[in-house]
Amino acid sequence: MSNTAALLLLAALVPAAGLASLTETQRAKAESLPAVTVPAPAEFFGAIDKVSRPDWAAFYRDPGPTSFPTRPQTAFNLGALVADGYIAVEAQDGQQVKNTGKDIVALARALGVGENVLARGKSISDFADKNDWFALREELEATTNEVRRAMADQRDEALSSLILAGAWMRSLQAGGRAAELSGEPSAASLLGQKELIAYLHGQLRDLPEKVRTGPVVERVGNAFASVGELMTVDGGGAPDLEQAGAIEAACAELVTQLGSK
Amino acid sequence: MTMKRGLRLLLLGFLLAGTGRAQDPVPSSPSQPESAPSLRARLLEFGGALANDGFRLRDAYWSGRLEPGRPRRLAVNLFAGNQYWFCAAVDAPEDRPAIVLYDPQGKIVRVLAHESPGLSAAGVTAAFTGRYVVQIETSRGPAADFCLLYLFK
Repeated sequence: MSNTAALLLLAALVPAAGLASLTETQRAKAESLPAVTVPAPAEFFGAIDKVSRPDWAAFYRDPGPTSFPTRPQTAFNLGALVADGYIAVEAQDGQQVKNTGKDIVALARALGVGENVLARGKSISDFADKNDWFALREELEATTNEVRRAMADQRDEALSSLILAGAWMRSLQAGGRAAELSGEPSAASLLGQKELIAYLHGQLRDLPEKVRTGPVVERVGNAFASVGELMTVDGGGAPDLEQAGAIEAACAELVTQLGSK
Repeated sequence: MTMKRGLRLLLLGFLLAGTGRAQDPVPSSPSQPESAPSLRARLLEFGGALANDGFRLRDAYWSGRLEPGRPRRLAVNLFAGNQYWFCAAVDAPEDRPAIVLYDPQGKIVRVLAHESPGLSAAGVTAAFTGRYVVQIETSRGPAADFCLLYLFK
């Protein structure tokens, strides 16, 4: 271990060896893996914290249903709940984290993968009792991956994609609101995630036609298209505060619509 | 906190605490090489120092096969102001995998680089929010299995 520490201390700021730049084609051909390419909401919220220090408790939602008429809608809401969990962690509110954790397990049960995340739910509760925010962020991501892996095992990629969609729509809703409240242009610029949205949208477009044309997938896809458009800035710049407000509104509309039975 | 100051604190972290929290491995790809879990274990040991300095480990990792002269590239979405460490290990101890990061405009990014036998790491504070590309390549060895993960703060 101490050898590793010593080696790290020898790290140096260097220009990396490699091509000086990538062409658009080379960039486009880069591989993508959902579990790595799609960031954890904790990364987004951490970046927001650095520029605006929002009152995260102000972003809580009223408790919603723990059952929904269809599996796609359930999956989307499970993702949104995961984002709520991250928000509660940012607020350092153990009870809220525990409440959200229970709802996550309830929705996972509704999807038939409750057993896979029961242990995670217990860990979330334990870490919340200990105010271990660091571990909670890791546990929330691990829980998401656990559910998504179970979905993949059941060959239900649509649900797996909808979990990510729900998490990011809810995260962008909170991020947009945080930017608006702070009035900080640098907070609004963190919403410049057009390529991430395009990737998430592309995952839905790649689903089999029967699934792709389902009402929930179609509605989420349309929302991705709108949000991607709102993130587009002439000259390749970052969104401003006005756009942040519009992004928040578009995401909030979808989260609210799909969050009710 | 600057990256260099962070590195100084790492030593303190080693002295005061144990390794980072171990997690169940979450393979990012169903076609991962057999060596991926052991390579990831090495990265977790290495990343423990960074975890002690407040870096959080992503749950998933990227693994596969590297052929000489054929870099592999992965898209990652980073946020301006966050600090990141990309860590890669290969199953060829004599090799030092080269990690290169490209920003959303496709330009190469200056990184804080660390190399040791069979393992490399690149640290950076993201200047932009957007889609970066992380590239890994064998520097001198034959074909090798690799595993890459990242931490953020």
